[in-house]
Amino acid sequence: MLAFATMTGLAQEIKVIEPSFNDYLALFNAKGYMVYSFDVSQLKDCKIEMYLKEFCEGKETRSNSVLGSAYAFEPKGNKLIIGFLPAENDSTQKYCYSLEDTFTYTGSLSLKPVFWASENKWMTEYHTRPFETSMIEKERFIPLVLFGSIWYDEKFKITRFCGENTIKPNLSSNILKFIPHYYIIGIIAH
Amino acid sequence: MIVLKILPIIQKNKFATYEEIFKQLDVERTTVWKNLDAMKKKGVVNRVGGDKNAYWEVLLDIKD
Repeated sequence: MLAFATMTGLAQEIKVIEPSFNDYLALFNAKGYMVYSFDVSQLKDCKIEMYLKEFCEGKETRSNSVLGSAYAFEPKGNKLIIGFLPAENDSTQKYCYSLEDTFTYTGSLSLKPVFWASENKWMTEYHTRPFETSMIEKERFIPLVLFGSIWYDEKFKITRFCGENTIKPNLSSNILKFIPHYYIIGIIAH
Repeated sequence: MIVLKILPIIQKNKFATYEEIFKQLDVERTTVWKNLDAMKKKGVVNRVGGDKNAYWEVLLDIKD
């Protein structure tokens, strides 16, 4: 019986196969790349303007067009990508908007460190969450991706970033009560 | 919009000088200066490096 099992085992093998592009995604994510894609095919007749909001300790501290309404573009393709590049330092994060066949914009977001009291050190770590889909309304801010900081949990003396996996467009998601500093990256359709 | 005329010039030649950009556009010299200044402030382009080796970093890449 043992000999049979051994022989069966020998007959099996793991073959090397050609990796596909999708196989690299885990590596990209581990390296710090994060991408969200959105179908904007329903916005073909609109001009899309990049828009950004910033919240600090629950208060909106910034709400403005990324480049100004003069830089609004009609999408030539069907896809909008909002991506994040690997962090180069603790104070800024590069992100990009890419409207298929239309434009790619690379910008920077300022980061704020969180004090990890039990370890007596400052930590800078941000994570992303997509927003729940909502109806498209022209001339109104459409939130797409949240980029937010970890927070310090005094009870368990750890830093964390946990809660809902998607954020409600009306900002009622529980996770937002804890995130000390976050950006909402979105668009306005004209 | 003049900005959308300036951007392709810089995209094709990141070492383009103010003079070269001005020559390719049928506008006042100061218009180019003002628009490039506004583009730098907005974060559409960056001027990187010193006088001799300065080049344009294009942050808004518009497809043809």
